[in-house]
Amino acid sequence: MTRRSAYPGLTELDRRDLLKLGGAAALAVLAPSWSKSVASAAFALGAKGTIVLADPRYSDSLVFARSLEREGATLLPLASDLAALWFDAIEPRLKARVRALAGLTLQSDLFVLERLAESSGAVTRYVGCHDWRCRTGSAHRLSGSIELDGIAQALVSGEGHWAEALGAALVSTAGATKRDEGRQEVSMELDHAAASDSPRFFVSWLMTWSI
Amino acid sequence: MPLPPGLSSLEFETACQELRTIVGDDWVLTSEDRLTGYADPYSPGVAGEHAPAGAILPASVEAIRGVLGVANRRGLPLWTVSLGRNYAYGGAAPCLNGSMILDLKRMQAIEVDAGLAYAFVEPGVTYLDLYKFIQDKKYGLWIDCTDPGWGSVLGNALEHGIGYTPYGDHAGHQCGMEVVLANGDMLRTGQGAMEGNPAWPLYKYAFGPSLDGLFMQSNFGIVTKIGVWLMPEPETFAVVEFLFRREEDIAAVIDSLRGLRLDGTVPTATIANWMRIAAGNTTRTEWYDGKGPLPESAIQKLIREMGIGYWGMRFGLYGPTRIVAEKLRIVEKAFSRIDGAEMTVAKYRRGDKIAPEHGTLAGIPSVDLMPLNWLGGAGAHIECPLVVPMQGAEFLELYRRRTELFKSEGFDHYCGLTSTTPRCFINTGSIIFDRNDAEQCARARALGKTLIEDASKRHLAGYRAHISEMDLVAGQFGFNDHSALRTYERLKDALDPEGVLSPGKQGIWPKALRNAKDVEGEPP
Repeated sequence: MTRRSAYPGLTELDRRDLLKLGGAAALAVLAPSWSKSVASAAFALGAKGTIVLADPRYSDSLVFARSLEREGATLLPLASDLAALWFDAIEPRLKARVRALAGLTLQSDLFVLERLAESSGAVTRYVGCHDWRCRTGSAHRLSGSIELDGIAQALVSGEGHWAEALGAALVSTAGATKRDEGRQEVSMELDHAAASDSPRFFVSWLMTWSI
Repeated sequence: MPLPPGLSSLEFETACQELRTIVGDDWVLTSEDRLTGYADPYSPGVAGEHAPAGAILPASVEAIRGVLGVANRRGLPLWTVSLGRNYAYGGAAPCLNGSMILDLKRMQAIEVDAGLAYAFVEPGVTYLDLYKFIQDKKYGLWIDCTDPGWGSVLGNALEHGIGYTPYGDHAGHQCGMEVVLANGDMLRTGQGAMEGNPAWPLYKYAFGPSLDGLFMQSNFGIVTKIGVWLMPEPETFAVVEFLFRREEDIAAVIDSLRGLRLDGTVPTATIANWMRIAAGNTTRTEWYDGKGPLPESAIQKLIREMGIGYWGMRFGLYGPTRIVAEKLRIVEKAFSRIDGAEMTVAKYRRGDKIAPEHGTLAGIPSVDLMPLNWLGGAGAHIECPLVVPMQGAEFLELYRRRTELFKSEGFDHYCGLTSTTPRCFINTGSIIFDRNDAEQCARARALGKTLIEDASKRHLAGYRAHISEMDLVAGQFGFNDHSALRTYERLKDALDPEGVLSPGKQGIWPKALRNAKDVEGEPP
């Protein structure tokens, strides 16, 4: 019988842990290509007081996170254990004036974080579903209690850099506009290409805490 | 929100006013926005049939007794949850539409005796809480936890939940229980029936009948505290992982493992098929972007590129270093007869930092729901895990049959086997689906029902079930004209004559609703 030095593992062994170092390197080398022309200092509040999570497995997630980081957000890499991430890295920062959490991630990450954040009074104000499954183009469904027009417009014009455009637009919209009169929904079919490492279904999201 | 059956909105509001005087205004919830957390997050399109009328959150046994007084007087059905994280089986949602959720999350007391290695926990204590409590005190004890580990220690034990260490049979490692009965009476089980008896959390049995089992997966009382045994941190902990190349290898794997489980060499084990391994690490579209189940060519590509086997197996070995070393030799020899098997071992000494991927085998709770992303969309899963004997050939036949059933509804077969007792597996078969896709929800429901019915034809049944399938599974235990269920019903009528506690739980309905069900042929 062969003895192996490494085993790809069962469910608990998560590629996110294996790829963490690679992800950190990727964070350093992913240069901004587009964002400064759009996400200018004119945007009202920027992303200060925001934590943005990046999944190092997926370049679109990293690009999105970097676009918020440039506006002042604190970037944290997603870990396989979201409970540890929440209790060790995010929750303590709530006391230090962190007021928003955002990401372009797999859906399960949002699902878990919403439940971990529930007791702290977090409200999910925006969710966007970005879908490339079984189709040639992309489908985007946005919903939330923030103004969605700017996000939709950024997606429409963001071909080739949709994740970066989305991140910049979210900073702008969430910081400058408050829409309390209920939830809004926008659906779009676009021709944006998925990155080669894309899981082909992402959610972009924003949750906030009231000051 | 629906009203409790038989109550007008005025009567319900009156009951809520009375409840507010007991627990305070903030802890009686009736508005829709404050009840969203009590919906089943994985509901396969049946959330509307299992919606709560409201929720009440007492923080003490005394408050629970007050709530029961109102419920009995007003005919208010209560659906008890510890934290409501019983996902895949309904979460916090009730069987009976319009029940009031009795949410015990505010009860969070923990007591640990490091010398005798046990803890008492209240319903609101999560595995994360208990782990942190023990780590902070540096007790040198390990817990056993589920994966994910954000659920209630007490709630999971009551549901016969499982983990991955030698203490993975959670009901088996529960000892001592405090229960509030429907009439408000409080009892302690086992040695706890004697005031101050120190053996309450140490010795499972009573002077007379053992009552603990009556309050597990049941609706005979409200469990407010249990004792759980804790494992001393071992001198050496070895993580053993195997891969096996072929589908048919599972027969030999199981037959080899059985001997090691029966003689105690291996304390517990988990086996996963390619799909469970893949879903824990990747998404389906990374391998195939067509509709329907993965074709064989995509499965083979996945296995090849991930460097996995058709099956993977993992377990821990625990104890003195020399004993663990000898067990490793025995284990290697036992599985070496399976052609192509590969074995990996990681060893830890007491106090070593344990790698995240080995955490659950060391009772370190974490939360990661990666498999939900398999199909994309709003991932969810339901299942009815079977209790299957540890017999290789029989399981291989069952596996192939269930693969065909999964395929027939367009799903990939997610299969896991966990042995926390030495003669059986719990066979998980998660049906992963997009809960926002009505067509997928319908297929998931249909497959769930088919799997349950097919298992019954083989005289096998689930050890747990989704709230929408509890009657179906309960009805399959039909020996002697359902004498077990008839006995449960007699107990229910005696212990909860007004029928206010968790109506419908595990197919046990109170008399009034049972009669309505018999007339209409459907659950109320």
